[in-house]
Amino acid sequence: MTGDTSGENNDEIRRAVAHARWKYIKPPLLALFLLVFLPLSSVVFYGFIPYLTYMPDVIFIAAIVVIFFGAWFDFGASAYLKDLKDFYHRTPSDADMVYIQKQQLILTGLYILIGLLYISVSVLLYIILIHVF
Amino acid sequence: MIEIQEDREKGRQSPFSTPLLHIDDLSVTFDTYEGKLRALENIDLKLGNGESLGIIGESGSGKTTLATAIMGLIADNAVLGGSISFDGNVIIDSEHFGKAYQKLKRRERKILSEKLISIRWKDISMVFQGSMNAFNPAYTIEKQIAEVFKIHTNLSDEEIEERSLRVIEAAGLNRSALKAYPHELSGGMKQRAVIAMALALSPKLVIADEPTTGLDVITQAKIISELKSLRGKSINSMIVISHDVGVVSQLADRVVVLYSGRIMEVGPTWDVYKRSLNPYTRALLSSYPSIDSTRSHIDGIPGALPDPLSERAGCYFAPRCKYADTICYNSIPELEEIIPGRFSRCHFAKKFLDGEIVEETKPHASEKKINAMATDVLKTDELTEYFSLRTKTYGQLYGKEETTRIVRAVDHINMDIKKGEIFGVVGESGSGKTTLGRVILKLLDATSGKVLFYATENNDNPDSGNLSEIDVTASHQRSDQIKLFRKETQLIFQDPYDSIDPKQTVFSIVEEPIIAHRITNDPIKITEMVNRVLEIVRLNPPESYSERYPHELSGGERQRVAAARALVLRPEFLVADEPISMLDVSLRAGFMNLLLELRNQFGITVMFITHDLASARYLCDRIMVMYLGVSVESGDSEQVMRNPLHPYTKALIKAVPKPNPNWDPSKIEIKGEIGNAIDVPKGCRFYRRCPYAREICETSSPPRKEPETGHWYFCHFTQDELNSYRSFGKFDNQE
Ligand SMILES: Nc1ncnc2c1ncn2[C@@H]1O[C@H](COP(=O)(O)OP(=O)(O)O)[C@@H](O)[C@H]1O
Ligand code: SF4
Ligand code: SF4
Ligand SMILES: [Mg+2]
Repeated sequence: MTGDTSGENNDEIRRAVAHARWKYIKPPLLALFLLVFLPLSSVVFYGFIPYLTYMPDVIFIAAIVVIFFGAWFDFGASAYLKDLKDFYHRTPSDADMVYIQKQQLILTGLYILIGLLYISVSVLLYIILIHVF
Repeated sequence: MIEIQEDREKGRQSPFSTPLLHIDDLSVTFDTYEGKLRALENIDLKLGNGESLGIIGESGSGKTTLATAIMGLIADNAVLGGSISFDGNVIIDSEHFGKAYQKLKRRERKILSEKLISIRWKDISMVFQGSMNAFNPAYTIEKQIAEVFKIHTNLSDEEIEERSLRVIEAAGLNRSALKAYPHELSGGMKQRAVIAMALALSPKLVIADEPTTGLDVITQAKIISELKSLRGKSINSMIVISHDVGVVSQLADRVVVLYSGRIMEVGPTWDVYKRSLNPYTRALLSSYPSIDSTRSHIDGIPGALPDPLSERAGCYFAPRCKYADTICYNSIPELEEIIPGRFSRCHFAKKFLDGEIVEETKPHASEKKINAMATDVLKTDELTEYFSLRTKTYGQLYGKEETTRIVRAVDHINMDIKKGEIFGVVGESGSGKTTLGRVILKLLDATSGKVLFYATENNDNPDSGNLSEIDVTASHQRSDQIKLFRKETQLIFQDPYDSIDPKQTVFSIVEEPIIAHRITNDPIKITEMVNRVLEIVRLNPPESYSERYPHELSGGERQRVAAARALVLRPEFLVADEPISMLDVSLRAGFMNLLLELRNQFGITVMFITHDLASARYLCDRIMVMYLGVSVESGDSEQVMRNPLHPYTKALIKAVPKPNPNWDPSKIEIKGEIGNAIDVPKGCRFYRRCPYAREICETSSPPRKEPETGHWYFCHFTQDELNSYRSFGKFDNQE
C-alpha cells in the first residue's frame, strides 16, 4: 500500500533535490560573478581606484537585496501545491507541509549565506582599497 | 406530479412510543460582532428508539448547529433556550451550555464534562461533516480507533484489538486498513473508517452530518448501501443530515425540513416527498433536476436565504414563496400537525392537503434542437495533456516519488462541439475534465494533438458563413489569431472567488475584459456594455449592483457576476467548469436556466463541465463521459441517459441516489475508486473496476463502437456480449 521507498529511489530524490537547489541558487551566484567581473573592464579606462571605491557599496546593497529576496520568495511552493491539487488531486498532509517548509527554510538559509558571501566580497574589495592604495 | 399513496409501513414505528431523544423547544442564538444570529428557533423533535431521522435544508439552515447541540458541542458565543433529553434524562439545557457555561463553577464544569464524556461515543456518536479529513496523519487508523476504546472503556489491549477489527470489518473495510496511515486510504475508505469509529462503542444514536458529501457518486452509493445494511445491526437510531434529498430519502424513515433555523415540515419520508404540505419543501424538492424522468422545466427558488442577522417577521420564507399573502409577512405560522404524524409550518398547509393548490409542470425551456449539419465551433484532434512535476524545478524540490511520475490528465481526446449547443463533459473528480477545459482554452499548453476553433469572421452577420479556422495549439500566445480566440472564448470557474477579485466593485470586475481587449475607451460606451450584460444575467437593476463588492452578494449573485464578466464581450464559446457545484440547490436551477436562455437568445456555445449527471441531463444537448483522461462514451444526452452503453456510464447513472424507494445501490458492481491518472492500465482504462473485464481488456485498448448514429463508446464488447457476460469473480474479495 505504501509507495516504493527503496534506497535507489531515495537516492534519485536526493539528486533531484540537490539539482533543484542548485537551480535556485545559481542566479544570485551568477549575478555576483558578473557584478565583480563585468565592471572590471572599466578598469582599463579609469584605473582601479574608482572601481574599488564604488564596488563595495554596490555589492553590499546587492547583498541586502539577495537576502530580502530569499526571505520573501516562496521557491515555487504555491505553484507546487496548485499542481498537486490540479493534477494529482492530492491535498498535502501535515508531514508534506513540514517537508515543504523545511526545503524552503534551507533555501532561505542558502540565500542568506549567499548574501553573506556578497558582503564578504564587498569587504574584501574594501580592504584591498585601504591596504593597497 | 403529486400522487397520494398509502405508504404507512414505510413510516415505521410511531416516534412517540419511546422517545430516545427529545428536543424540546430548542433555540440557539449566536452573539456575534454584527449582532444576534438566530441559528435555531423553537425546534421540537422526538426520535423514537430504532428510528432514523433525516434532516434536509440548504447551507446555513442550521443543520450542523442542531447536530452539534445534541452532542453538547456548543460554541461559547451561543445562548441556548429549551432543552434536549436523551433516554429520559436532560442532557442539554440553557443553564449549563453556551454562554452560561462560563458562569459555572469549576466543580460544576467538571461534573458536566464527566457526564458528557460518558454520553459521547457510548450513547451518542457523530460522524462530523468532513471528518474524514480530520484523522491525525501521524497515527495509523488502528491507533486512532483504539484511542476511543481506551478513553471510554476498561478493555485490555487484546480486547481492544479484537473489537477494532470487528468494527472496521463491519464498516466494510479490509483488516489491512487498520495498519494504514490516513493518507494511504482513498476518500471512501477514510469515510468508512470514520463510520467504524462512530460505531465503535455501539452507541444508541449515531448522527451523520453530510456523510457522503465530497465523495464520488459511486463511492457515495456504496456508503449509503453500507449505512442501510448497518441499520438494525450496528446502528440502532440514526440522524442523517444532508443537503441532498436523494441521500436522506434513502436513509431516513422520517424527514425534517429546516429553513433558516425553523422547522418547516416533518413527516414520514416518502409521504413528504410525494405530497408535501409546505411550499418551501415543495420548492426545494422541485429544484433538483431529475435523472430518471424526461426533462421538465425546473425553477429553483428565486431570491436568497434571509440574512440571519436581520430582524425578520412573519414567515421567513415569505419573500421567496409563490403562495405568500399579507398574513405571511405579519404573523409567524405555527408548526401544526395537519394529519397524524405530518407537521407543517404554513398558514395554508391545509389547502395543500385538500388539493386546492396544485402545481403545474412546465415544458422544458430548451427545445431548440441542434441538427447534425450545424457547423463546428471547436474541434479537438487527439488532444493530449501529460504532466510531470519532474520537469519543473519546484517539483524536483518538493516532490516525493509518487508525485514525480507522469500524469495522463487528458489522453488523446477527439471531440467536436457544434455551434449553439450545450456540450456536457461528465466524469468523477480526477477524470481530467478541468484540464481538458483549460487546454482547450490554451490556458495550458497541450502536450500533443490539436485544438481547432472556428471564428465567425463577420460578427454583425453571423450567418454569412465565413469562418476562419484558428489552430489554437499551433498559434503563438501573442499572435493576432490567439487574441481573437481569447476574445471569443471565456471561462466560468467553479468557485466565483477564484475568478473575481473581492476588492473590486462589480462594475470594475465586469468591465475588465473590455479594457483588456481594448474594445473601447469611451466611459459611456463601457457603462452601456456593462449595464446591458448585468441585465442579461438578471442582476436588475444594474445600477444597484455595479457599485457593490462581491462580499455583499449572495453565492448565486456572485456566480452571475462571473457570468456577466465572461459574457460582456459576447463570446462565441463559453467553458463553464462546474459553475453550479458551489451553489445552493435552490439557486442551481436559476443559473442553469440562465445558460439555456443565453444559448437560445444569443446562440452562445457552451461546454458545461460537471460531475452531476442530473444537471447534465437537464442542460446539455450532447454529453461526453470521461474516465481517467479518456472519453469512454458520447452521444445525445437523452440517448446516453436512457441507454448508456459503456459499463462505466451504466454504473454512474445507477449510482445517483434517487428519491425513490426502489433505488438499490447494492446493485452497483463497480469496485474501488477512480484513483489517479498516473499508473493507468495498459489496455482499457476502466479495466481494474469493470465487472465485465476479460483478459483482452488488460492489454489492448478497446475500439470505438457506434451502435446508434452519433452515440458511441469505447469497449471490446457489444451490448449483447456485455449483457450475456458476467464477471468471473475477479473482484470477489476486494475492498
Ligand atoms: N459559533 C458561531 N458563531 C456565529 N455564527 C455561527 C456559529 N456557528 C454557526 N453559525 C451560523 O449559524 C447558521 C447555521 O449554521 P449551520 O448549522 O452550520 O448550517 P448548515 O449546517 O445547515 O449549513 C449559519 O448562519 C452560521 O454562519
Ligand atoms: S406561511 Fe405563507 S410565506 Fe410561509 S410558506 Fe406558507 S404560504 Fe409561503
Ligand atoms: S473494454 Fe473491457 S474493461 Fe473496458 S469497459 Fe469494456 S469490458 Fe470493461
Ligand atoms: Mg453543515
